[in-house]
Amino acid sequence: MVDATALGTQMEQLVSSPGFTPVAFAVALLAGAAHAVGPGHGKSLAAAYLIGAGGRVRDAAWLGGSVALMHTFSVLVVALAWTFLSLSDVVALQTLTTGLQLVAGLLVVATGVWLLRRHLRGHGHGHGHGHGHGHGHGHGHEHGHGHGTSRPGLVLLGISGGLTPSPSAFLVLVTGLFAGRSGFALLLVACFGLGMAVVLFAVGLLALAGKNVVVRAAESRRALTLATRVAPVLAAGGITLLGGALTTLAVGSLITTT
Amino acid sequence: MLAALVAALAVLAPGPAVAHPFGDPQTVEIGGAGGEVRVRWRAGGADDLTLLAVSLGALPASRVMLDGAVWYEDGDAEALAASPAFEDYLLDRIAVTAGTAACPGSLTEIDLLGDGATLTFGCGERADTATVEVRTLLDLHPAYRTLATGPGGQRAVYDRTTASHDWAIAGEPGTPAALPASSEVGRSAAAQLGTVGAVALASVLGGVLWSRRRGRRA
Repeated sequence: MVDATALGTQMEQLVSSPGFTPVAFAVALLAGAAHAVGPGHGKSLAAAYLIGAGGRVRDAAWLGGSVALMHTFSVLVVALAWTFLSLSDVVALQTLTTGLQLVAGLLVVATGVWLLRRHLRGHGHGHGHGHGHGHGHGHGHEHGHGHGTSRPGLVLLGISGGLTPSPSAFLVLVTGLFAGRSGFALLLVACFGLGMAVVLFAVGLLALAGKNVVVRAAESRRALTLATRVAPVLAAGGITLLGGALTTLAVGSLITTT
Repeated sequence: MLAALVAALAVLAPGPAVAHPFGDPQTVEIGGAGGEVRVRWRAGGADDLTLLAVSLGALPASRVMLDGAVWYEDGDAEALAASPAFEDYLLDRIAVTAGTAACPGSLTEIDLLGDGATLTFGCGERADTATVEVRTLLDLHPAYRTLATGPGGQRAVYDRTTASHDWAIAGEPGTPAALPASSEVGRSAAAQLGTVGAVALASVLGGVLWSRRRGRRA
């Protein structure tokens, strides 16, 4: 079976090989997907968020897209700073990436806490999602604040998922910068991010499909109403806890490496 | 696209796992003056020093786990630096030629966890340009590459397919036209990255406009 490391190595070699082959883009896409399939990268967070906040397919796409964009940007900034500004003389790369993981963890905590507050406040008087018991007019100015996903929350999770650059993508871009093929290398990094996005999008779709199955299978309307009310709070709590765990891990790594 | 994916899978041979934390890649810095060429080598990850020390017999083979993983431990860099085989290894894998003559070299400075190992090559006559060959760590894994910098911001990549590059040692004044000067490298990177960024931005803007127009029609 092809593993993420082998794909990453293959991508690194292709950036300095002569010619611009379409295979290189396919390898980069696969390497990104394989990288995202590995532990981390917010798959469970994405699933929890989309289920808990009543997400749609478009929201899953937003999440995947923001991970891809953030990862490409993050790799670009770190690679440029390493190549032209002697970043390693200022901070060790391992410390920098652990610091970014810490920021990512804090972003997740912030998203979780914000979701919790939103649900606890917004659902105090218990209006169910679109089940037609007439609270709509009373809350005419909410514009989706009380229910459904919100773009800032999704984008925050996406940013946190793409903030830490993958070592392979970083190596590809610095190799491209040194070999005079930075444009090609950046395209490969973007394809790598796209591969990550595809996996997150697929995870989101699976989570939404699973949720729909549960909703359809639910025989008791009361149980379903209760579930739709409790699930967002549970999801927000889960996101907060996961963010806390990510932050703690990053702090632990920072303490041991410094 | 499907054909490309199939082709990609076909060429992918699963290589040995290289468990690496995020860190610097292997680098060399080339400089010199007055007929001397200096090459400063840095391994990148500290675990590469351990792996090299095991390979040269300076550390026991038992330090490599069954799955190939290696962990750096205190004293590994010192063990490698103290090994007589290390200088031979570096001089075998880093070579400098000025004109047609090979320049004799020696290990002059060593601080493996800090500035790295510096080799100094005496090229006799004043060497304005030199050919530097680098093949370090390729014996441990063929996927290793070395990112090299030279005077005046010259840059190059050494890997298993390209082990040799020409360098303008004297820096800017004597830089031959064939070698990229620092400003050229930076300008080329800016132009390429700028083009990719501009195309991406234009695509996004085009997509947004298109979807808005579609939304209005609907």
